[in-house]
Amino acid sequence: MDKNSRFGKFAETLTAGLGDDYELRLDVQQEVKAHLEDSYIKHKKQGKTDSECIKLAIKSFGSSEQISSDLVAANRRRMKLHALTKLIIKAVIVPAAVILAVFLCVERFMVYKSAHIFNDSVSEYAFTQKQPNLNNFDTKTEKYIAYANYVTSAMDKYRDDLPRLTEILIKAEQLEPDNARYNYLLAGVMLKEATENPEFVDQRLLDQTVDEVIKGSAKPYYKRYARETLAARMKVYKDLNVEAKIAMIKVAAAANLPDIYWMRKLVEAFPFCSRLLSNHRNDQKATELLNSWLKILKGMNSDSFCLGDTLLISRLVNVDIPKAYKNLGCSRQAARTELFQELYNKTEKSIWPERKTVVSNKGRKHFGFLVETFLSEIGGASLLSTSDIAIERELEYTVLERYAVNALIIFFLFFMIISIVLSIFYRISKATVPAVLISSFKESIKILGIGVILPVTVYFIYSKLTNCGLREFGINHTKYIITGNFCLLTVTVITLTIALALKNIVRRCQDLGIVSDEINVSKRDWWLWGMLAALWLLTFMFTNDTFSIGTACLSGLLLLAFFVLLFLKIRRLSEKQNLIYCTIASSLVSVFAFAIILIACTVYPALEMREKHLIANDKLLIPGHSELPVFTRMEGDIVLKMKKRTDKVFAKLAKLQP
Amino acid sequence: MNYNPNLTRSMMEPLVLQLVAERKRYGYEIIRVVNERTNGAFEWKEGTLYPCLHRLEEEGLIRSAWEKAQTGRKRKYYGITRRGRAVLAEKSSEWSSFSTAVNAVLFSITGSTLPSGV
Repeated sequence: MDKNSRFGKFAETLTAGLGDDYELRLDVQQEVKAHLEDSYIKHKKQGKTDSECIKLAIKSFGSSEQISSDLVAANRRRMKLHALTKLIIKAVIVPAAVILAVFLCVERFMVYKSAHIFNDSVSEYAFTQKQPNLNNFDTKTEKYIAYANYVTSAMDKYRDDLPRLTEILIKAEQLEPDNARYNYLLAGVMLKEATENPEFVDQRLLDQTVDEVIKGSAKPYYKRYARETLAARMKVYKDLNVEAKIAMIKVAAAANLPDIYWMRKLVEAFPFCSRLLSNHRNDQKATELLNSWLKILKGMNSDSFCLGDTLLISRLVNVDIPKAYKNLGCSRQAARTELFQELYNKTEKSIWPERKTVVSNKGRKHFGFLVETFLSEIGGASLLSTSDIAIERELEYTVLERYAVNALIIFFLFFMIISIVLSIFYRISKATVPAVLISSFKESIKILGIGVILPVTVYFIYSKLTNCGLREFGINHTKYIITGNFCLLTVTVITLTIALALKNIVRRCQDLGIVSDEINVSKRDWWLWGMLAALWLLTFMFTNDTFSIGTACLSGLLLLAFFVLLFLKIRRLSEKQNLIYCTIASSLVSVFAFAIILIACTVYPALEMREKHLIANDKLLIPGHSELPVFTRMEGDIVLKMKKRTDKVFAKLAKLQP
Repeated sequence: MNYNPNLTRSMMEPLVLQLVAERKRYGYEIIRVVNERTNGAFEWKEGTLYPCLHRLEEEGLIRSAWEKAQTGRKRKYYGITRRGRAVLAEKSSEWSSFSTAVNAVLFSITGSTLPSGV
């Protein structure tokens, strides 16, 4: 038996009493072997033979039985502490990390599911509509509110299924004969059908459209149950957590969205319809149609309760009805409607001086998500100023940041699971493998501080100063840039954490004799730092979507390549290498678990607090806090003032009636 | 002279503390220095040092770290902590007064002179 085997066997016998604490056993074995080696060298220098040197080294070390029991007594508390730490990691930290990750990333999003009890039309959550109790609004015809909500959903969902929409709207009109909303919507549907082929307009259907508009304009209400419908919807959100509040705001903001498209298309077609009727020598009907314009606006104004309504009225006021009157030879009505437009626009300017008109695509980068939502329906004419939407913009961005943090947590969870799988995969049968603990508390702080907190903080500060303040992200194109940045942030955090933890673990494995000393872990990973810095620098320099997505994909690919290489190496591993990989994989589990807990307990609550502050600190109104389901106080003021002032305009106009 | 093993073992902790207080040392080095300074008077079995070192480390009096020596070999070095220094000072003072008291009794009653070096 050679020297190393003899010393190794002696050290093993000496440390047998240290039981299951494999890390401590290896540590003491290494120490004993180093001592025996020194002793061996001393005897060798005295000119003794190899065999004598080995014997003397072991002899002068002392009785293995006595020392073994003394070592156990000396390390009892440490062994208990190690066992307890590992038990806490296995039984508390890792499960807690999994529970936190699942809770934050899955459970908190359930609110969006509940939002669909009222059959909301957002396609991503269509799965909830499969539930039978959620899909029978059309059978609950005795409930006006439920049916009104169903119509809202249907107007968006069946936009291209005109026969179905016609059927639904006829049923709605029978249910609520006082509401003009269904006549107008039905007219909108019929108009679309009549003008589907621009070369051949279906005159009969167009006549029916006009009849339906005239019929609707004679009714006392525009949309009587809209507010009640929204109130019923809001009751769905029982837990008022941040997601619920944001979902409520979004639902409230978009409450009348599906109607807007149809109403706009219908009213904007009035001049065309009147011209067509006039061509067919039906001037009287054409005049009746144009007369309904003011009635529609009046009805809309009295039932308006959110910014969407106000924006729609503003758009419809500026349809060129005076010119249509002039074409029919009705100069008096033309003058009257012109006066109305003038008074309305003057009122709007006095209340909402910052309102601008979009003239080019370039201007679009100053939209918030709310305005973007309305934009396609309003037709790109209306816009809030940057200061108007500053709060909603920050809120949206903070929410987006929190989603990025969610993604980070999910990635850490993924890597933790991978590490657990790898540690099982590499485990040699019956062999004990130590899950190495990070050498000190200071080192743990260093790994998590530099690996997680530092890059996240630096990026959030940077983005608060740039993305949040100067850039808009409501538009998808900008969202891609932000998403790309977040992907790169995730890759950076994970790469740094793994690199720093690996360094520490490998160094410890070298102390324990698991990994060869030939690997130099002390050298700095300049290539890694350089690569990440270069990616970030390029991202900051070229802030366009293609580049941002490109760098994110590139960094993701590098990470993927790392794992592919790791799996390719699996087949060719020796037993010794298996031990190395198994030790590293099982040691990384606790690092990932701590990273998840750290993010979940620091970054996540900080962002959530900011959101709560934005929502609750009198800056944003929550639906139900005021009589209007509005997003911002400014928006509420505009809606209320415009409603009152527009009523005054109508009253003024009535006085001028001949 | 062969000392009583119990006596030499009881002195192990303060001696080790003193040696690692001077500078960081590894186990074999401690044994070697003790042998040199006592001219081989203390015949400790080398292995008995490690339970002592581990006990002191567990009590927070010393701390250890693996380091590479100039020869390229890795050794576990032990250094004293702040608490260890306080305990060392206490033990030194205790030993000083203890030995004075013992000497006073042993050597004043018999009237003999103190042995050289005491």
